[in-house]
Amino acid sequence: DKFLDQAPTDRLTEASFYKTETDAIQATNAAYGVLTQQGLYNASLWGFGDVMADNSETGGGGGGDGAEYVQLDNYTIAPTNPLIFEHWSACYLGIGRANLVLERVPGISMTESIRKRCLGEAQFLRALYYFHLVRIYGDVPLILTPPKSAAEALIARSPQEEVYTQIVKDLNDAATNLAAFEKYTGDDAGRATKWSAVGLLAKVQLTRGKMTEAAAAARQVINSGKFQLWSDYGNNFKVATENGQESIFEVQFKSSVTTWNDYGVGFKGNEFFAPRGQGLTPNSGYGFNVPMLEFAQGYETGDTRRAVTIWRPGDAYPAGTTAGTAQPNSLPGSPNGLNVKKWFVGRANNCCHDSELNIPVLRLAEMHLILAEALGATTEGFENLNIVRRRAFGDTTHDLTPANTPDFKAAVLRERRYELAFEDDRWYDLKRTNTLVSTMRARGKNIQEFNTLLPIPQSERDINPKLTQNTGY
Amino acid sequence: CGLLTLAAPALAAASPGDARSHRPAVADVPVSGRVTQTDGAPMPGVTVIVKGTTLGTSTNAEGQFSLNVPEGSTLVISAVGFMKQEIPVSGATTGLDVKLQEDLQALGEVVVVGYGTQQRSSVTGAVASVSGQEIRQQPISDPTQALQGRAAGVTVTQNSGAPGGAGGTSVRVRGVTSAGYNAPLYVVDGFPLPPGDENQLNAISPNDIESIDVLKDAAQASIYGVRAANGVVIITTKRGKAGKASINLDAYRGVQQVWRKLDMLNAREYAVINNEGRIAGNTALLPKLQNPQSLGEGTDWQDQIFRRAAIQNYSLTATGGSDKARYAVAGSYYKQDGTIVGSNFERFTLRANGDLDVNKWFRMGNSLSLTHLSDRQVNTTDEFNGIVTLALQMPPTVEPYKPDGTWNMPDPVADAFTEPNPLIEALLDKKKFTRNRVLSTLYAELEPVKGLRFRTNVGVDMIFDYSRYFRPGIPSIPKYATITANANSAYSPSYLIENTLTYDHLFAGKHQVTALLGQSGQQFNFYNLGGGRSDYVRPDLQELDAGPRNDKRYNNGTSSETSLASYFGRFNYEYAGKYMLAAIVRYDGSSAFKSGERFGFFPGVSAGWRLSEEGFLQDNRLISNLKLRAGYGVVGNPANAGAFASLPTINTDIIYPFGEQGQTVNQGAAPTRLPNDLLKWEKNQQLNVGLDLGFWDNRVEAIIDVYNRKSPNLIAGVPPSRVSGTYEAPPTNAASAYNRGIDLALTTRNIAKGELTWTTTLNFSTYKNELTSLGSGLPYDGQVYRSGAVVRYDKGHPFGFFRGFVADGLFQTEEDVQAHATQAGAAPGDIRFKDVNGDGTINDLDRTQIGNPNPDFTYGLINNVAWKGFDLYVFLQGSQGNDVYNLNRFYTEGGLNGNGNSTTRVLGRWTGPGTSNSVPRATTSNPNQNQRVSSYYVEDGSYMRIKALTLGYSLPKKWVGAIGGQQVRVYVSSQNLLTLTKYSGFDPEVGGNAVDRGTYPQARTFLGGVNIGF
Repeated sequence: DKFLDQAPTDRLTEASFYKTETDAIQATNAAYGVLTQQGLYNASLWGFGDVMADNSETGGGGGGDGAEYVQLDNYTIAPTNPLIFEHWSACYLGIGRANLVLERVPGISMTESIRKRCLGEAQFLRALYYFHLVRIYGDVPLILTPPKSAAEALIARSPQEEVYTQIVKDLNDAATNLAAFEKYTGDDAGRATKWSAVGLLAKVQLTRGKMTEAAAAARQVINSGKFQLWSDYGNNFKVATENGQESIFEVQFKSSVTTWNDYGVGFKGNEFFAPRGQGLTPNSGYGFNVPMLEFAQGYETGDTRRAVTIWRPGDAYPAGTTAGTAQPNSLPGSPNGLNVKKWFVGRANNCCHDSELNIPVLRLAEMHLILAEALGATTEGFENLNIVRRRAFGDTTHDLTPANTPDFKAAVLRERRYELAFEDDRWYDLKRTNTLVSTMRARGKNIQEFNTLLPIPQSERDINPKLTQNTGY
Repeated sequence: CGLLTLAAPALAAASPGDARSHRPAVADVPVSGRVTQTDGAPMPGVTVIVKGTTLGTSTNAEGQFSLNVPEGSTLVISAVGFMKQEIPVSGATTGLDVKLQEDLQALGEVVVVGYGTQQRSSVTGAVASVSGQEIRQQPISDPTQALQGRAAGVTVTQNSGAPGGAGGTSVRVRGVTSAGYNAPLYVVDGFPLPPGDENQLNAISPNDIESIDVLKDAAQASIYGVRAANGVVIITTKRGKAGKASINLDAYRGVQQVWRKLDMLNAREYAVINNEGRIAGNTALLPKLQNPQSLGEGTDWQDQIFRRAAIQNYSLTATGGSDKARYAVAGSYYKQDGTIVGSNFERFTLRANGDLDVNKWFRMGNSLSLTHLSDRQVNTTDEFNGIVTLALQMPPTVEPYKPDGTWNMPDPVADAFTEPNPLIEALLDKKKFTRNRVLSTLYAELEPVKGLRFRTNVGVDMIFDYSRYFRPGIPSIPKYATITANANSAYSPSYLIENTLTYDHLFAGKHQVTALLGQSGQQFNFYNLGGGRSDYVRPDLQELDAGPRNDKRYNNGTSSETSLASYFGRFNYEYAGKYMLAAIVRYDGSSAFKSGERFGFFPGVSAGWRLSEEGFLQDNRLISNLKLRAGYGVVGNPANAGAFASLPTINTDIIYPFGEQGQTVNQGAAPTRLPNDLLKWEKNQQLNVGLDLGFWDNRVEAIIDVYNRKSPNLIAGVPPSRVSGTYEAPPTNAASAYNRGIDLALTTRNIAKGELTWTTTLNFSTYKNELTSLGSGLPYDGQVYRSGAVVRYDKGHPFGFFRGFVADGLFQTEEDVQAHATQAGAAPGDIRFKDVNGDGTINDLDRTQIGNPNPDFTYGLINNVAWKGFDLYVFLQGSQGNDVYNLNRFYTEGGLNGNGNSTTRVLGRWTGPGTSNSVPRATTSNPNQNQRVSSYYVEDGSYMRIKALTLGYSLPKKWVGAIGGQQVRVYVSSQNLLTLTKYSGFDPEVGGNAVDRGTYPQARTFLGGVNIGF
């Protein structure tokens, strides 16, 4: 038997892990690891937030190309849709890793401040993932400790309100644990801070309609003195100014260096959104997530955000492209010659088509918009809305006033649409303001009332009979 | 007879003159004589036995023998690879002149059964044998290819036509049992090879092989215990025989070419389809294609990538020896260019096998084989950049070369096509794979008392792999602009030590007892080291060290060590050549499993009854041999469990970047799989019943076996709910399955008169399998392709069946569409999919079994005809009733959807009501998703082919003798001369999971060769 006593030399086992401070940090890093994956900011969320909303259409090569996005776009969503499964999966993998941190890290002998940081980060991330789950699927299984066997994970869905209660608790706990971590510089930039937790709390409360709490949290962030709007809107979407003065929390990307793969940490939107076949990106551009004409035409004159956000016919290409010098009037998959530009990096790296550009999850401009929405048509409400507009137009002449703004709430929502365009947010705004069905019908989509929730993934229901399906699917 | 001897290196068991005599009961008379081949060459080591007894001797170096036999008995004279002869003895005889004729058939007399050999007549299990002679009938690179059609019950599929057999050869003994590792255990000269890829035998020159024996049933294979569930293939290399040295030169040279090209559209036709699709899809026409008539034929991309390619082989073998020492040394060189540009294979082998009888009680010997092989392969296995797929898709309107002679790329705008030029993919990179392999065993054997032998066998198999790759870069093409290099070195040694004790004795003249006890330990190690660099500034210095020092440098390395400890025993009992009993037990322990779950027993029991030796049949003129066999055994397969798979491991590959500009990738770590403490190897229980038949003095011989294999605890990944926070399916012994089938080998010696002989052999195999339960597991998909998953594993279905929509003709009119269940996006001219579940909507729930890759039966039919100096060999081989998923058509009809070129099949597309009910309309938008996985792509993969046809002529002996030679034979041969099939792709023989996605097509080969013997 001794001859056979061999242990793996290339892997750690649970018996040899969760011992040191480094182990604690790595366990926490793992909970971030799903953010860059397809189920979250690298595919599913632009499908949900933009393609499924009235910001954009699928685009791409036509035919079966991007069939999973076409389902979202046309509201013919199957429970087998991979984006829906991947989203569920990524969120629960992240939650599972956060649960492991919260279970194991208290028992590790390590620096106390780093322990608190790890716990706070895990609480923040767990809240973020549940926030995603609860908005997309409604009631979801609430799991807060790592299961010891496969059977322990086969649990029923908990009511949304219970999940929201946990989210709020986690965010408050996170803010406490992260009290000493208000802003990072250097190697730890990108980790969740106290203000990430408070900022997310503002958005959560806004989503729940708890305006007082939302306003309080948003105001706390704005008044922290840690953040400042960029005078140039575009700086939010540049590699050089990542994790900058306006950033509260963003997903950190880094492009592949030798070979691209779907599980790397580069953002594939660079290639997927680039004008199709125009040679601007290593694989020439796939042209997905194409802005809807109504959206593109809706920009007010003088809005500097348009040039940052989308390609329009005639827009000059950066030098060195193979196909031409400017965006054509029409492209495969984009009959009006429109494409998303916000995440465009270009030919950063010939080997691989993904990019290192981060995606903001929370930034100061949104805090102003949350505060404005929570306050309503008050002076402070208008002021916060106009802070965002002044940066967009570079002047005060576009300020909104009670006189020219009969529907303040609609004005905030509209501002959010253009300020946060293609930041994976539009569908959630429509949903929480109960305007989803009417808006999408007005855009000619055959949406049904039940489509305010997406289906529980079929494969999960196959494994766990306790998971009921949402109505309509 | 029926002696079970030790794993004798020399197949001829006994030493010359070593009379296995015992005291005769009745009046004996002396008999002596000489055994020669038909050409007069003396045959040493030939067994001479008195029929129905174990009394006998063997011939000496001059082929002579003498012994005392009971008056009126019959002598049976036999040797491996020769037809046995029976000679009645009426009284004292001297000067018997026995000429043995070569037996070209597989049903040899001695079979290797693992740690020993047995006479075919004593075998109680199911063993298929293929002789070296047979193997050399085909110009093959990998000896396993020779099993195709030649061993009943063994289904062999060549996965591709890549040179050197690099695509692998799927060898499936008696069906398919798992969704994972299905390859048999290979044992070369007593050394069990580590489990590996499916072309690991290409390091062995087919010329060196004496015989291949396949242990098919568990009762027989259980001697190899935990590794034997997929059957055991035992390869025995040539060894020297006492007598005159013989030297043989075998050489052939030939040319290969793909036997079929697909009919693709020319430039004009391509433009017509493309324009039509764009109009239907509401997309602007390509200016370049707007006037089809202005275009010519365009580029034939198949002609660009396919070529006539040379194949050649030279081997020199010397064998010989004395009573005391025998040797076989051989060297060979094999070179095969691929029929696709950029692919080639080259191999040198050297072998030295020796046996030394030091004295009456001690002997030792060795096997040593050295192989050096190197190849350059092109990618034909992935559907995205596979050379064949690319060549088929590439528009004929694209030029392969620019006017300046450099490679051209399709223009993403003008050609609306973004895949790369296949010539670049095939030829650009400088790359080479090199393998050096040493497989060596050494044995020493003590025989202190006659019949009692102690043997120690030590061995090593060392595989040194080195691959290097350099992309010189094409600055003008962004996709290829970067100059990169990488190199990888792997070392896989495996060590073996075995001790066996064998006792052989005949009690009271009738009770033959053989007992074997043994111990074995084997270690399998693996070490790997690699690295790469990118962004070289110049293409000439290609070493890694010459590369730039940037952040794209990488390295990797890993190692693993696993081991297997075993104890085994076998007991054989035979009474008077009539009743046989064999019992085997092996106790195997593997380090891959958790302590406590490591060891297991693998028993095997079998029995035989030779009815033809009973009084009531002994003198039957019709039936010359009749034996009934039955056996049951349990064997295992640890490969699908994987090493240490039961442990809760931490995945340290999770990464996330932090840092101000996100520049540092930080490591994360978390378990991604729940543990499974109870994981065990897969068990396989098999019942085998067989019948050996011989009629008219064995002019007709048949071996029939019926089996039932049960796999009660197959490993299935039981996927966890993601709510668990993990995503990997822990391997779990959850599923069960069966394989049931019949193997039949039939040999008829149609004519054996004087100078004309004609022998026919038919090998026939049929099996049925089904996954009967998935336990707590779920149905799961095989590999996912661009159009989705095709292969599926689900209970109540055969292994690896195809799942998809059922295509049911085309919608002809708008009314048709309306009358049908709701099918999103459908329009006239689109494929109508069946509403299988009848819910009025076509969706994923309507997917069902649309094909079965398992054949109804496979067969091989071999005809050997010899007349005077001529010999003719015709080998037909085929498979019936298997389905192939022709995924290639996803591409070769992709032109209908604006994606590249198509076969001429699309010329018959739907263009209006009644125009076609099979090929859908052209439309770039393809709103109906006509290309989804459906029965539209399933084709009948049945085929019959002339696998080999050889005509040879041996020069008359007197001419050859005049120059001191023994044999000079010249021959011409063709492989894959003719294939009859309805399959529309390149080749119906699609390996792996029977999904054809641009596999390297097999070649038709013509060659000429010569065998010269001195």
